Amino acid sequence: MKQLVVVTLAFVMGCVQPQPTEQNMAPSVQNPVITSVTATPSIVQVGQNCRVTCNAYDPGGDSLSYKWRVDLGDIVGRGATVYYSAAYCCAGTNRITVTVSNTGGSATGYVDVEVR
Amino acid sequence: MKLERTLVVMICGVFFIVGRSYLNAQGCCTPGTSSLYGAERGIAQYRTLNASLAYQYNFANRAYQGLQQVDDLLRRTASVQSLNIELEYGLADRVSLLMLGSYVWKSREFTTSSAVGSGSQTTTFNTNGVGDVTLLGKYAVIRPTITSPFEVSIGLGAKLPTGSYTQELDGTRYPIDLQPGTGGSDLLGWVFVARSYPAQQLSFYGSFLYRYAGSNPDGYKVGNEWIASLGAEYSIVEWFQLSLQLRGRSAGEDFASGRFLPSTGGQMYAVLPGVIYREGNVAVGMYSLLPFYRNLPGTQVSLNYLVGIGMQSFFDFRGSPEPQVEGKNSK
Repeated sequence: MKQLVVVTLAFVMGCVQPQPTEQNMAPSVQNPVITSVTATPSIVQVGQNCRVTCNAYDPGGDSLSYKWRVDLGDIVGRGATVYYSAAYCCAGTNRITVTVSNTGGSATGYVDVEVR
Repeated sequence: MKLERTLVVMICGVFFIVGRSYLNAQGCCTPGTSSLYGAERGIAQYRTLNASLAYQYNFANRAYQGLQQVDDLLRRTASVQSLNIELEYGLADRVSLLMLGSYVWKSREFTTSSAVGSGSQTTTFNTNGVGDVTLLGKYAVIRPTITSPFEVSIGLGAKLPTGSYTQELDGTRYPIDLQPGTGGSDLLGWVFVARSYPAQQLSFYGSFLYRYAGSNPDGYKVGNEWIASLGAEYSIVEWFQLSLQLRGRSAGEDFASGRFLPSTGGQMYAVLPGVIYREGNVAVGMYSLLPFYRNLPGTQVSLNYLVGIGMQSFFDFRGSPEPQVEGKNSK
């Protein structure tokens, strides 16, 4: 009988969802964390594009926004994955920078792509 | 006479419409649009104002490698439209100030293939905004007179970075060639020479403009350039003129990210036929720019051709001269 009560209580308590606290409802106050920025491939010919991906997360579970930037060449797309290409003018190594932001702050990462 | 004028206006309209359908622009990495509209005139007379409004459309989709036309791997098509406003006021007997402002629309389409897959992607970017403002102070070294219709003027000026160079799409900045402005300040040096032959209804002019381009805050520097032109205008009748100009442009390489960009700059020569219709203090002109020689380093998309239409108005604030009263101040 005692075991039945314990099991029943455990079951009931397990079904009860914890009420959201003020802490986890509030916007994140921590900066996003970028784990990697990759370009696939990292060497492209003029006329080709490569896929550039930023892997990032928010410690507080907030949504993230992405801003991409390159001095030379074209970036197409938005969000965590974009495509990069460049014309003849921009042959050489070009740095693609991404700034990831949440409500609390931002983090910046980059990847270099060589255009041949 | 009225029928003739109507006919001329209609011919001009057809010329403009036909010209537009073939139009062609600046390609990648040649930001900004050179315009010499007001720099191909002498100074404005003291206390007079020349105001003009011009529309230009240019289109480019031909790639060149040196002198040769080649296939463009990116299959780029670019167009630039601009609405240019010019004001030139005669500040003193030999000095006038020219101000040129613009609103520009830029578009570029290009196609890329996936470096790892087999698909291709065609993208079109469109931007628009207020362009950079150019100021040019002119000084007449030799002023034309009725007996000697010869003019030499010189000038100094600046192109100011009033146009945005930071426009974005979905958080990503557009490339510099699509921005309405370059973000840099440029210095300008200018020389203008003109000689008219009133008896023959003919005038000749030449102009030379040198632009020393400054870097923008990101370190992008457009190549320095010079633009030289030789032109002639012939009046068929008092109110209608034909114009023909030969223009050359040479630009140095752009500089960015710590290096000179290989496929930028170069030389281009073009011919500009045009017509001008005058009615009182108003002139309406139409012109086209047709390149006939290019020598471009690397591989670049270059202007196919350009057409423009402009209206210029002349305002005189001098008023009628005050009558001289004999002996008014005499003792």
